[in-house]
Amino acid sequence: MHKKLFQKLQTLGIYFALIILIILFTLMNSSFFSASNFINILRQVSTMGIMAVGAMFVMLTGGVDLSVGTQISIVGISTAYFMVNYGMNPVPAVLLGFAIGIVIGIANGIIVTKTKIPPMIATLGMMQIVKGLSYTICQGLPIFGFPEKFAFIGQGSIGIIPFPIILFILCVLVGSFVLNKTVFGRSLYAIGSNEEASRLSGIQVKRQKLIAYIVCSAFTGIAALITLSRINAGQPISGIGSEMDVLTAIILGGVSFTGGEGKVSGAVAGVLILGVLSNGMVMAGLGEYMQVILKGAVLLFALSLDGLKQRHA
Amino acid sequence: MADDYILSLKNISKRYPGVKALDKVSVDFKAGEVHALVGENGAGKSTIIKAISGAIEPDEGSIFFEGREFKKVAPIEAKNMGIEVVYQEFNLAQSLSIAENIFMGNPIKKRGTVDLKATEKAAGEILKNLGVDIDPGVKIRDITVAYMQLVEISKAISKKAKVYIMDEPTAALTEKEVEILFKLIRRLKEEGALVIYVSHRMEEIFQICDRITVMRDGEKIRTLNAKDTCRAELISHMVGRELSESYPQKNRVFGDVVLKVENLAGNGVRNISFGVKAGEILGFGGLVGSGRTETAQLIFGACRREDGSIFVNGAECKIKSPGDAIKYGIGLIPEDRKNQGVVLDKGIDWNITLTILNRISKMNIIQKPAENQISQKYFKDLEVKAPSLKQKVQALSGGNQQKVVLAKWLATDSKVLIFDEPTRGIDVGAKQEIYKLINELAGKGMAVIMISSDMEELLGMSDRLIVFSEGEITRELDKSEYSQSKVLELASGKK
Repeated sequence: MHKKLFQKLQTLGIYFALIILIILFTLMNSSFFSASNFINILRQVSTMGIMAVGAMFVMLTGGVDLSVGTQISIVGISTAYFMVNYGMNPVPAVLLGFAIGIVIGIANGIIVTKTKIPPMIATLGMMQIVKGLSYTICQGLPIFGFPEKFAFIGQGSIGIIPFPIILFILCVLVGSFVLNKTVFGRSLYAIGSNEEASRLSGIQVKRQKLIAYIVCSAFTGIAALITLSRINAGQPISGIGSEMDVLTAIILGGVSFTGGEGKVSGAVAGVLILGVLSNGMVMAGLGEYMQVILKGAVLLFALSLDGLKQRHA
Repeated sequence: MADDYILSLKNISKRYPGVKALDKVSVDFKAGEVHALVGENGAGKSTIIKAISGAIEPDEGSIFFEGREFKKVAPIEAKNMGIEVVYQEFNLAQSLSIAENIFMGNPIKKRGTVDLKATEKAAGEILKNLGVDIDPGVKIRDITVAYMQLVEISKAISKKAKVYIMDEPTAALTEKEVEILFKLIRRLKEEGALVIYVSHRMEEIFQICDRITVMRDGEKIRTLNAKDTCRAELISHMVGRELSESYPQKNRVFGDVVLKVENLAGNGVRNISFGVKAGEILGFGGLVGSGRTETAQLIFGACRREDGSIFVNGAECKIKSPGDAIKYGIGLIPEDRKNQGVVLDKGIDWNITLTILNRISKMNIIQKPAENQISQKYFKDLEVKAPSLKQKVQALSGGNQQKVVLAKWLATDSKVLIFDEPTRGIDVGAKQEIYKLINELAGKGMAVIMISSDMEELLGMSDRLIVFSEGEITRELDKSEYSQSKVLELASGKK
């Protein structure tokens, strides 16, 4: 009985929390509840949301990728570098920058599957390496002066919908299709739930894990390009620290830290909660530092829910 | 008379849900003797050890230690009275040195801090006394399993106890180290200590023990003087029952050889060659760790093969992973159902189709109708008792979980199925169902390998038997040569 109630709370609770937050912030500031502010929130969370979809692939296997934040900066900086220092067109520059992100994903996947380093440590090391690389490429200075066309990815819109939101929705659709309907997605859930049983059922555990890290980097790459285009400059600090927001959102959304469980819809709800929180707090006049504290508290809360769920399972 | 005994058990009983682990067991132990406890798996040996060391509390009866009566013994009490247990599983801290491990719990101190030099010196002396030639400063993770066992024993001895209980102490030792251990046991005996010795190895028991207590099904059969008995008598006491008639009648016709392996090596086994025919049930006998499961894992590609070849229907198979084995039509129902067999937090249908994801999908997209149809078929065929196909497997009984594992292998259309301990931990009724299913599969022409520690089941089910010992096949037995005592003898290494 207790267990059932708890599972219900896990799956539905997140949506209730979202609604309650919206009501709360509307009461605090009536201009919170408006179409333009909601579009604003969606645009703000689109990069985090796309990263979250990618990170889910890794999380489902029971792994984690802490280097996604710095991947945002290196993909952005190298794309900027190709466009500005080599005068490349946006298309090849974007493809090259994106490819660099993929290489990092491959490296992460290989380290995690070929060595016994736990994913958290392996990707922590990768995070430092990538950070150093970003600074090396740009010598610590921002790179700007992009071709005008490039601004569309982060700043353009189709009708009244900003382009990043459209990309976000596309990523969510693709992500949930792959995870729910394909052999690959099914394998990831299996690996996260019981790796040994999966291996003994003929699933190529190592290969699927490797692909999961690559997919994670691919989604992160898309988020990186949006970020780059929106701030219109390649900066070594952009994206740094965002891995924590992504983790918080996913775990809040009911994706298990130990793998094997969770839905894209949950992760999206987690992302929206974080977005509503930070937008609402700004509108309520609470400072940025307060937000950092609250985000930490939310992460701990989400993890404790996850821990409780494990115990009840 | 009772005063001669340092330790006596009087009418000790212990019940676990569904099992009587000990049934009014009384045993007397003398100081200065080496007393063997023998019996099959599940006979109650380890429960006795646990009662003496305080790991469990008996339901009835008393334990007398040096004339004092105890209804139960607390673990710390047992230690303080001088009862030391050397367990099979090691309780050593991997990152600490041998010396630190030996003195763990009673460190040698100097001004409030641990005196490492003195510790190493004292440990060095203990080891030297034992005739173990190793530097006490070496970390546990850098020594072999055999040395770990010797360290574990040294640790017990450093406590200067009155009773030493050793549970399969030689399982990890080579001959040379066994010699060291025996020398040591003889000295403990001279010093007046009681050594309770649990082992499956008959030869050792006759070498080192004075008296032998035989256990069977939670009861004490009798205590014998080692010099008044022989191996055959001991084994007949251990087995002590006729094969029951509860195994399905079989008059199957065997076909051609389906699976053949030649000179298989790796994963702790070597020189493994045998064949299984269509319709045949080949039994693998032997002790845990003797190479039965290890061989199955090799054939299935779950472990790296160092040498040898595998043939299915005469064609050589390149098996490097379980996925390859599945392609060649080999399936494995693993021994550890919960950790290796099923994905507990997922549904029955989900589990059944895990082995055939590629077959039920088009362009990598899983086709729901195909998934439902196949899982529904096996759900019905095997009569899995569950409200629906979506039921999470963790809510099922052991027997039904095993049926789900079986279903996922039947779904692959295997030609060869290896059952590793297929009835472990499931109740009698479900066991019969599993036996019936295995027999039906063989009847339909499947080549079956069955690994089991349950001797009765192994002999009752199999058409032919291979007995393993220490990573090799000791002998192959035909149905006409079957007897439990013969298998036990072969399993304990006597050819």
